Amino acid sequence: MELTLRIRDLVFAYGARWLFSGFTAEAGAGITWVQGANGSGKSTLLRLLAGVLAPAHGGFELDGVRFGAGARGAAMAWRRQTFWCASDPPPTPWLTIAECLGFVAGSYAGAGAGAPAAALRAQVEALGLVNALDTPLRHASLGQQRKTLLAIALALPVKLLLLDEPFNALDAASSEHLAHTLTTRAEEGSQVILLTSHVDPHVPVRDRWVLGA
Amino acid sequence: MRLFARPPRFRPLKTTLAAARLERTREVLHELLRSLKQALPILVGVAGPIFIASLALLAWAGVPPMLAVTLPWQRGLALWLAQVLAAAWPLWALRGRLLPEPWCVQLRCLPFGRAALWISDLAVSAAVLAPLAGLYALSVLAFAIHGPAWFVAVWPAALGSLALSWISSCVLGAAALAWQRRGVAARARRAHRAPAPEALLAARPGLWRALLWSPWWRGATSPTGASVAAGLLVALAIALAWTRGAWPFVPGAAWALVLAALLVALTERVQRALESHLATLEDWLAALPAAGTWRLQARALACVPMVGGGAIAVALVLASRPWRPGPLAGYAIALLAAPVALVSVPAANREAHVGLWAVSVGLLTALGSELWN
Repeated sequence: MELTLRIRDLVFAYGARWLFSGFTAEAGAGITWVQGANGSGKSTLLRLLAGVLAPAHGGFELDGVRFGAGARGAAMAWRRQTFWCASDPPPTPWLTIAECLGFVAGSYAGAGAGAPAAALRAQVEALGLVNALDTPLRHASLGQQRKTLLAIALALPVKLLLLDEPFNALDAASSEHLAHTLTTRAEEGSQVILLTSHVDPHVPVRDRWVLGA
Repeated sequence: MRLFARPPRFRPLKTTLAAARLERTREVLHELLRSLKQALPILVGVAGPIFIASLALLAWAGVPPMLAVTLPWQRGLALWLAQVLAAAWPLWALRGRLLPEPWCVQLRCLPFGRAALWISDLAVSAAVLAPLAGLYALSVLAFAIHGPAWFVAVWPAALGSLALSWISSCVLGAAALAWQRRGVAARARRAHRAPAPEALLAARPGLWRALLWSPWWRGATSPTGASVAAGLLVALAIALAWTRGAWPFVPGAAWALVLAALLVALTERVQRALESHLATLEDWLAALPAAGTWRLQARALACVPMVGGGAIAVALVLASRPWRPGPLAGYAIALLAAPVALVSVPAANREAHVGLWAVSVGLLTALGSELWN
């Protein structure tokens, strides 16, 4: 059976500002490009799927695991199969890049869903982070901080990958590597990848969701 | 029609390093006063008599350096140095705010000479310690009016000792600021000694180490772990002086009060720092399959200074003169219960917290003053 993310009757508002009122959608394995103007709810949708925000109604289902309104924080089974790569740098400026990678990879390993060391090492090399591993994130460039999260995102064998503006602040080589890896993942069909981007990501997109339309 | 009734006022540009740093110092001290002002009305209401008594104690601020000249030189020097260190402590505690890391980096990049940097450190140190100079002047005035025999006999030397003590505190405070300035270079040097990538990537720091422990020792919290450790050392010194009866002229209740106030203040500071630190991580942690016990772990960490410092104090009481078991058991229980009660209430609830401080300090002082009676 094909891996499918189902979003049903999603309702969410920031105070009196409604972003989703009964949003329903399905995304199969591959890349779904979430589009929309600023403030249309792209990042909020990813945060809801990551379990950072709680929907007022409705929920999500992926590979038999359900999560949604009423659940306090994302259930562990949901978190294990999801990785949220926010558009902000990691909120741990005191950690070195290696420590941040180790902590996040370790927290998935502790939950039985860790990234193989070889996969992590490969992503670190491909994204040009090897010489910066011992640099505290507070001294790293914005690009290096973004690459730290992307290295984990691309190394973890999660079923749902949430990428918020992943191409922002990346150098040309890293952008190319990211696009190439996402293309490979899309062809393998083992992950549902939700990607927000204001510009064409130049990857084979299976579906497009236009929010606020 | 005129758009502005009067033209906007501009502050003149600060053109010297010392002036710019004094402006920053003024902002930091204002910020500090504002946070104190929030708690003051409740403090006065709950602990009014103690507060008024402590105002009278202000006249004693300058006594240790003046009294030091009447003591045998070893004890006199120890007392004098203790006062110098205690007076310089605010500079150490505030160094991160007086000289934030971006300032340190800029100071290394701009063409300032060593003398200008030291002069600016000294100016900031003197500005922060200026209120202490006022308190010392108040002490001198009070003792000159009352004219106790010991003071009349040694007053020129006592005044010299007091002035030298303040100057030494200023120099020590300036050294703390200089240390903060130079720390940037040391931290950068450490960052260059990188182990092999394999070793770095093999490490899997857990939640406790990565998010709760490391930030204290890497300047990500205010106060830092080193400041909390220094506070605990001071608590240890107070507990030693109290339980050994080192200075019989200081009543036991005063030692118990100071120790309790210090431990409660440390718990409060650690809790506030942890809460603001974790607020930035909450979203991230909600999305990671990390252990869900991080809130509980953070609360346990906030209790560590008071439980640790309290355990040492109880051990010192047990090893001291014959003590009374009832009050000691109550004292130990209060030392455990107070931090648990404090960390159970969010630090943002200022009213409840100040009430808890007052009750905790009052209870610990009452029980502590009964340990040997």
